[in-house]
Amino acid sequence: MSALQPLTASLNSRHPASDDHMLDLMRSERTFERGFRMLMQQYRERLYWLIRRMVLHHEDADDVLQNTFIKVYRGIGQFEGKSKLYTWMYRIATNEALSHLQSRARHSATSLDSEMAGPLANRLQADIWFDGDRAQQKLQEAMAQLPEKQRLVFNLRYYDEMPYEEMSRLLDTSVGALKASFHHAVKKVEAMFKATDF
Amino acid sequence: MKKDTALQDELKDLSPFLYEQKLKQEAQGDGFHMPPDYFDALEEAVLARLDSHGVRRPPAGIEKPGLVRWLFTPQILLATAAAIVLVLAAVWFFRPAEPVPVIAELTEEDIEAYVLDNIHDFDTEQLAALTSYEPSDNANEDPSASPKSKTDKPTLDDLSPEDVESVLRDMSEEELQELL
Repeated sequence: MSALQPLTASLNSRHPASDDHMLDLMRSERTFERGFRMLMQQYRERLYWLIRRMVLHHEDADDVLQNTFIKVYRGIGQFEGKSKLYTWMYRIATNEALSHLQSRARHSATSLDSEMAGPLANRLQADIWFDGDRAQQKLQEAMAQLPEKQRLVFNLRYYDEMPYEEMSRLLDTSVGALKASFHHAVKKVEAMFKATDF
Repeated sequence: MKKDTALQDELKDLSPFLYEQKLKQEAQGDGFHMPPDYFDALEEAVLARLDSHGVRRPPAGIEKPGLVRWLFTPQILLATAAAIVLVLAAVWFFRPAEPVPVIAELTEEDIEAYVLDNIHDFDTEQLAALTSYEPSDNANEDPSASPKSKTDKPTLDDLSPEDVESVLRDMSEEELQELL
């Protein structure tokens, strides 16, 4: 464990750093890593759960999250500040999660939709980092059958309770389209859930 | 992230079933867990991967421009060029005026006006020099003769009583006879 970790963890818990402060630190070679560590501490949990609910399994989520932070580390110089820092990282994380799912689908020679839903969700039963009851597992299986972008909208609204306006900026999609997508997803998940005998 | 309380109402309208699942999830969790201290080790894991890729180095481009780099930004260069042009134009426009003409080019009226305006700055010898007769070109002229006895000597009407008396004292007997 790094000697800095207790200090930075303490700092993070008491005084969450502002985006501007972290970006200022990362503008200097001398303080870049310090700013990057603060950024990771600030956003690691939110990004982790966003990714985890897409890929379902902890090992996959860990891999995708690390890839996300590496892309943030290498790409922060291109961040122009046109959007919030978190929105920018959120996009990187969702793209990385979708790329991961597509890569898995290519490797397993199955599509991401209904065919893939079975193996992806079935692995939950054997996953030591999932201890939900049967109903929770079936809910995840139903959600896994949604198209990946619709599942992303469902996760952002259902789990993160993200307002549609914020989601619109994040996904560059109209509020109306997002509402329609979520409403449709809710109906499909309920129907699939109830269709499963548990 | 600001939570949207309208979600509860939205779920109630769309799917009371999922609304119940949502309440259950908030009370008991959704079944997902992670290894203990996972996040504590995450930073070092990420930095170790950056090391292994040979990219653990601050990327270029995010440097806030220092003073020198700021001076060479396009806006500053343009403003500097405009300022230089203005300065050069001002220097040319307000360049020193033509040299003052030499005194020899001044007219007599100018000289007279100047002398009258500054009469107290001149002593009597200077004034006398300014008002003296022009020398004659006649070679037979007696150089010792009084200026008033020269060819263009003034008439008695032009002289003051004191001057007349002085002239008369200087005249010889013959000259006096001529005058009478």
